[in-house]
Amino acid sequence: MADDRRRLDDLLLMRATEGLDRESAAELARLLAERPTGDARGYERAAAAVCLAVLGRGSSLPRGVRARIDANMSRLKRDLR
Amino acid sequence: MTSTLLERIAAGDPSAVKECMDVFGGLVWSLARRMSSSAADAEDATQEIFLEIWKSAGRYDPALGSEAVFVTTIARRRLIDRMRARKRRPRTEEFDETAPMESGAEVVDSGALAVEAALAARALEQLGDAERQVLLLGIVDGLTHSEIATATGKPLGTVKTHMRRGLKKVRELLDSEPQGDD
Repeated sequence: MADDRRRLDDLLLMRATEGLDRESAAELARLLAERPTGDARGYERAAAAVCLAVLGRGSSLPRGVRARIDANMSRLKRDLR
Repeated sequence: MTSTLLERIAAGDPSAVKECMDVFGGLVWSLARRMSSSAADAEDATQEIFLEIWKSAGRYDPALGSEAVFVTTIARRRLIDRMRARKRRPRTEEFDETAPMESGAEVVDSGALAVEAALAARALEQLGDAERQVLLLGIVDGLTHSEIATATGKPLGTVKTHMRRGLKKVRELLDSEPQGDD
């Protein structure tokens, strides 16, 4: 039981920091199904908060990149529906 | 009640999509630059991330955190997936606009973007130098635990311990405060 909890925490930490391969992702899904945790996304939220603390609003999105995304807007909107 | 930006996107408000890029474009671009192998890769990643944000906007729950954290989480997931898909190939070129800040050098004032940022900044200040360095190399620069071990000369087990302690500290502070947009 304690080993499972430890492994689950390891996998959640790995997912938030360097990602999981398919095998580990399947193991995480199995452990979460067997042992639901209150906040399976807690480490990911913490990692995102660290990025926000360090990067803030970041640097400006280059006009060319923005233009490319804008140009694809209609296709993206169709994908949304 | 006023709808959030992501709720407006989910509802199909076209102005919200542009507003989302105005608000979060710089953040997503900065993350993409740091975790991509080239400028072209960062551009592709940025476009993919915004597509994912727009597809996922309906899943945003203000009770679970700010929009900035939601967007950043999506961006990091996508960037990590891309790094894994390309076998974590390191950067092959330098970006002209690479932020001058080195990992751990400073924490910006991003309180206006998300309350969680201020809490994470507080947590970072409370960490030891080694823990903070490991956390920032892994979380902000996208290095694997093994890469951090190589870069810092620390044993892999030590890197993992620092990473766990650091992220747990941030989680504890986040959990101690009410969540949601400010």
